Amino acid sequence: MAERRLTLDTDARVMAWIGPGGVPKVADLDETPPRVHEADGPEGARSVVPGGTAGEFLVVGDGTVVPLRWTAGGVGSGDAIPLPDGAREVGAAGGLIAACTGDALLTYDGRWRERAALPAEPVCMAWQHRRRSLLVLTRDGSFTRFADEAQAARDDAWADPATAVYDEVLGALWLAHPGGDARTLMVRVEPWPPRTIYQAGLGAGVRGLTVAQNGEWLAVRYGGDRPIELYNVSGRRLFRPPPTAGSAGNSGNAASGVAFTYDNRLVTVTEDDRVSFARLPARVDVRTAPAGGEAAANEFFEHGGDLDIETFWEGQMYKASKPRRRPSPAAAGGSR
Amino acid sequence: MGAPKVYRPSRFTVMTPHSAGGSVLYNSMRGSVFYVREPVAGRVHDLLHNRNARITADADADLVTGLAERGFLVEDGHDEDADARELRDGRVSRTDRLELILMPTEACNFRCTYCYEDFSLGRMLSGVREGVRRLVRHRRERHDLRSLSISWFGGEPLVAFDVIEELSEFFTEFAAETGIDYQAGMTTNGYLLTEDVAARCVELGVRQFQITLDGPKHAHDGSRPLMGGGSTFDDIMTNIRAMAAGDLDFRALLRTNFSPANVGSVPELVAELGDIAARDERFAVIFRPVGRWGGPQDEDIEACSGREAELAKLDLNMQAHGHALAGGDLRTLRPGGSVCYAANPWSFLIRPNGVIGKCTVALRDAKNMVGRLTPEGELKLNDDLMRLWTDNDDAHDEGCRSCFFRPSCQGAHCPLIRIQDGVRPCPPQKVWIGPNLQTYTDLQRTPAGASHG
Repeated sequence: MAERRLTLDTDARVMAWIGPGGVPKVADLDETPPRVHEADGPEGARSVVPGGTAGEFLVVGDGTVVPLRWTAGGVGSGDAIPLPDGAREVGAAGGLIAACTGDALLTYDGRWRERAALPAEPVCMAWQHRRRSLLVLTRDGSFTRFADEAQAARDDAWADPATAVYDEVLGALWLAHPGGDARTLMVRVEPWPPRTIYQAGLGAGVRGLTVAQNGEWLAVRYGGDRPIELYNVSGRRLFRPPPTAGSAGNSGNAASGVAFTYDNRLVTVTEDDRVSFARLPARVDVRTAPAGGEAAANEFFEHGGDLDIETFWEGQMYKASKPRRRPSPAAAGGSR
Repeated sequence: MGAPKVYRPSRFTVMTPHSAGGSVLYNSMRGSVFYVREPVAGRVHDLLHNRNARITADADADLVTGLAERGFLVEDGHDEDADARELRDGRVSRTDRLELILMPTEACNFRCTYCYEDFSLGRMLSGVREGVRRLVRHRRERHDLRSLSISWFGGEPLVAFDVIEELSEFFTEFAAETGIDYQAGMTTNGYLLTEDVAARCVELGVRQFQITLDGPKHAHDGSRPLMGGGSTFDDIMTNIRAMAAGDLDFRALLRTNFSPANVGSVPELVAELGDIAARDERFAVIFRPVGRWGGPQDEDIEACSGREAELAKLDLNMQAHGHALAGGDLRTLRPGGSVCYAANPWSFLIRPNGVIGKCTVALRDAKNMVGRLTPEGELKLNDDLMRLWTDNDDAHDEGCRSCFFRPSCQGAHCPLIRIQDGVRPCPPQKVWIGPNLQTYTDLQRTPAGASHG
């Protein structure tokens, strides 16, 4: 079975995906348990992306995109909108729809308008919520940013990545294996211009990345049989995902797909469209066990180190919930 | 001609000798700090040292009148305790003011070594944002709201700048429409506070910023790195320079958290900031000791506490003054100046999921989850939990009622300490009042920009 691509709305609370037979499915993740609703989609629905506001999605099919809107009453579909010829990346841009072709970035407000020329094939298009701008990485290593006007920056070191994903918290793109080498880069795009800040030790064979809402985690999908793993950004370590409630075993089944909710739960959808969760530690401060640095983190994982994540974080979270009295927070007015 | 007025020393007055001679007087009901030279200081001491003395202006008319005018003497029979009660009750009973500490996200792009937050919630949900708007409207309709104060907090609030823009547009329009007073500020790490973002904030009425720098580059980057690592100092300083160079109308409080590990390098930062913001009234500096605030690296950090921390803080204030940087701490000596926002019944922390708290430190403490904001704008509050924060002060503490500092802190400097530890939360500026008064006197008497030895 092909990998499920799970998509969350702008609140990261309602989830959508394409089920068997190309049927769009939607679930409110704050329901217990979430009920799965079916929606009408376009012919050949192949992917779903977030819409511009809470509860909205865009279902992308053969040459058209269909808006979906989830409300407490169910899911409604809008009229199909034709996509520009050769559209590859489709997404919401605030109240507009955006799409990339092989050589242009366009937005739709009743008709498609070209906003910026693209120097090469798009790899990743993202809507930067806080800057209300569109960002496109193209295969030649160029970033194109469009708000009121287009800006561009390029570095050969960013060319031809295996995959890339935007992280709103860091204001950065994660680029796996640019130029085919083993590195995964964190490239800051805000403040502009972009620049590489550091590398992450995700290992080889990265094929897909999903960023948690708080930026703390990356779900890493690898080629071959290697299961999904969780990379903790601040601790710079890989973890095996915890089992999700209702799933039979490890949630890192490549076919299950994963997503992160606004309240830091890891979500999976099983092959029979059941939604299940695991609550993730919000903050892993693993601090370079056993010896420090990215190499150590990888070594720990690759040699079969198996940190009991639940036990580890129960302790950490307890500490974080109980400030101590001396020296008092009052004396300092908190940590800011 | 009537009988001469009879005075007695105010119970809210303290007098402390200055190391260079003379004495410093402070009255917490007035918030006045006053330096007297010798030999006048000796005469003042004679007048004030006996709390039960009855004083007329016969003998030393000018001095007695002067002391009375500044609140160090009060008329005999005047009920100062009633004044203190009135001060506290007036604060607690306000219905015309609403203070919202909004967390547009709990996510943060930094991972400060001493941080206590766990960054568990992402952007503020759209239903919560709608609830905030309706709450403000309801307060105007039902409680005659006249004053709205918004404090953006996080996480790093600028990570969700779109949420700030969305709600601030509403606040500014609502304030213009209704004529209410609206003030807004932000606690930010400064990394994303670029020139254009700062200008947009000011345009939206967000004019007060607290930005933290933990020393010069090498010290700051060690304790306030990007998530996953990486320097942050240069970007923040670039942003501060741009703000200083422009003509935006704002107030920026530059905060430095110091510990034994970095305190020696803080003067280097102070000099650097002086080059940027000397004599610029838009900027002020504060210094705070790093505490063990509950973060996961508590065991490893070097915390500062007690007299040593207070003296270090005051010395840094003098250093800043030497570089013509204004200090931001004097307000803590004013009436109500040391009361924690969490003690105010009209102050609410609203988290991204709509959970309402009182304190921005104890985010995971169940006693700090006092209610929930509904999308309809209703505050569903647990009254018992609310009282823990808002009715847990000098009204119920005999020791506070007899304290000279009562008007300033009202026994409510830190309700969290009372709740978690059951002890009286005396503020450090009261505990170390002598060094504080001497420092503030020196700040007043020394020209700004004069070098500090």
